Amino acid sequence: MISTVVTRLEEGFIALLLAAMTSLTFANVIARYVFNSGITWALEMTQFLFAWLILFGMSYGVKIGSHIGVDALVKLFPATLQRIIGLIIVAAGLLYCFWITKGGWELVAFNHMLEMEAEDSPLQLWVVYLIMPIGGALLAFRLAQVGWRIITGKQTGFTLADEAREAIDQLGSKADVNDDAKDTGSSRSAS
Amino acid sequence: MTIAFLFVLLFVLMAFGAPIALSLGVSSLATILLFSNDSLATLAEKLFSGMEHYTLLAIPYFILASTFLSTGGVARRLINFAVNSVGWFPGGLAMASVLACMLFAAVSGSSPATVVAIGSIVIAGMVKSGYPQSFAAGVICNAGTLGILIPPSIVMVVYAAATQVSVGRMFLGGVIPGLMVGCMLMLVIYVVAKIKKLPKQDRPSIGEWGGSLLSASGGLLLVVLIMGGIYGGVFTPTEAAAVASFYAMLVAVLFYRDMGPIKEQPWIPEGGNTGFGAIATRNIGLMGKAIVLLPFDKDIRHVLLEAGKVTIMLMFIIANAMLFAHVLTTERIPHTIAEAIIGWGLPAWGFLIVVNIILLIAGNFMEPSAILMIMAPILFPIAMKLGIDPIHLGIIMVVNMEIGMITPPVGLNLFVTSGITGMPLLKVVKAAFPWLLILLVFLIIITYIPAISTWLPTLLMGPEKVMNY
Repeated sequence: MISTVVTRLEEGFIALLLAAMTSLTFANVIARYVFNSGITWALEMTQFLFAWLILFGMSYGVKIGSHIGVDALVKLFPATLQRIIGLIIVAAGLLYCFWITKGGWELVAFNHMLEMEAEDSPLQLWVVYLIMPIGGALLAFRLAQVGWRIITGKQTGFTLADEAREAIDQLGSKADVNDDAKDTGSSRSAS
Repeated sequence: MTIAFLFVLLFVLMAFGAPIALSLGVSSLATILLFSNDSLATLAEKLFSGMEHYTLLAIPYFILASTFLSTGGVARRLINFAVNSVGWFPGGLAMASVLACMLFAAVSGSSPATVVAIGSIVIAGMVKSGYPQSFAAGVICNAGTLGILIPPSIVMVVYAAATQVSVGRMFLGGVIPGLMVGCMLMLVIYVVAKIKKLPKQDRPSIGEWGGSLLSASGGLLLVVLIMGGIYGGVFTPTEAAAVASFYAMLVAVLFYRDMGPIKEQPWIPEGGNTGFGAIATRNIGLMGKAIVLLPFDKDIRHVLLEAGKVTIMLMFIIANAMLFAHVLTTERIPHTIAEAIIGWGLPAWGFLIVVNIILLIAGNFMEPSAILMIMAPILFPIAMKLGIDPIHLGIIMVVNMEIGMITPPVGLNLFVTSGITGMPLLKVVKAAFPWLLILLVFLIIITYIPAISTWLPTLLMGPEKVMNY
């Protein structure tokens, strides 16, 4: 129940960010040609939204398993070894999260202290950078979930989606996929 | 030592099956923190600046546009048009698939997207009309790589971002090579079809052909909009991409009506009033309703989310690859390698052989955008010293990436083709191989005849200003 709400919020936010970016850029072009004056803060704001989209979305990517990688080699190992390797990857990922969360937090604190403002937009920079520690923490949470599933034996390794499955899912029922294809290369567990 | 650490860590993580983005990020952060004095905050800022890069901003927009086009039925109409155009040659359906891939490539910037959009429809069609499945899969797998050679192209955007070359120039540089590969593929199909006696379609009447052209024009106009907009100086490539995704949405929702609030509502109601006034009123009303309801529509949100997922996946890789490239630069690796290679006294053609070999190998293991982000800063300065045109180098790199997409283990097109056909991966690899040879021959041609890539951009945008290195 809660997870459905969270998923809807995550997906809604991602769609909203992308829609906002596209609309802002489009509106800026229109403003320039129709009203002869661009929106001064549009470009900078779009760039911030772009960074927000990626930093917010990276944890969602782990959740739905859309980050691509090569697991052809690992698949050859026995299950126990696969689980150990999976945990090593999770640990490395958590280290990454720790670094960007800490680094992001320092960045926020620094900009907050100096009260730095964005160049064109009426925004305090620390607010913009806030997504960095938040995104890092969210990513850590999703990675920890993967780690927990490996420990409790619900999955054997750091499962990866390949872009193929992703792209095919987009087309929905159009493509008829048989099981042979799923078994080769990388695969994805139900999220 | 530092560099050994960086690369060993990267390869171990990747071999262990870590996501490419995380492998790049962890290895670069670990290297910097262990061996250099940068603070975490500086690195965080570096990562952030990679994610708000203006040139790269075109990527989400191109992805969005192509998602609207493939869910919005444009692909199907492009295929109809292609079949009506070349379907009546021997092997016509296969040639039409190549043409359809070329057309779709001209509105989309990604290879796997092209394979899915076109392949999921035409492979089944080819098999039904008597082509061997492996033949169909091999053709599509290869023709799909045109997605990144024919502009717009996400990989070219990445190259431009990494080297400060103009995106517009790169796009123009890809036009003639893209058409050449397409024609080479079609020519070989024609010859094979003659020998193997593959079936041909009935020749359509001019009317039918015109009808399919008209029906496909909604998608084809997008090419005009993007290219015309960029070269007419109307907007930057990034803006062109944003306008393209709006256009793609409106075409899919208002004209084709394959999605959105007025989905499948016919232009002319059956059995209703067919007077001009009645139809105009009806459709203006419908379109008005559609525009009002757009922001709340389920289909639109779905497309936005799908495009968002792909963007996040790709940009997470690219941003971390930029961090990786940053580590290489702080360790002066591009400089050291440049001096070493120049020290060998290689002529330009020899250097290009080295480039091709390195990229072909790298293409087997890495995601194309990440390779360009990492390799371009290394190869670019050397190429400039040897007097190689930046656009020419860019096109060579893109063609190498195309080949990387159809060679295992990281060949996205192979996975996608295997996914949409249900063929085992190994069979797809075998099916794609003969066609891969065509791309290899093309790579040699493109490497040694720079004019193929540079003629059009020079003609339309004047001679290239080469930066001094």
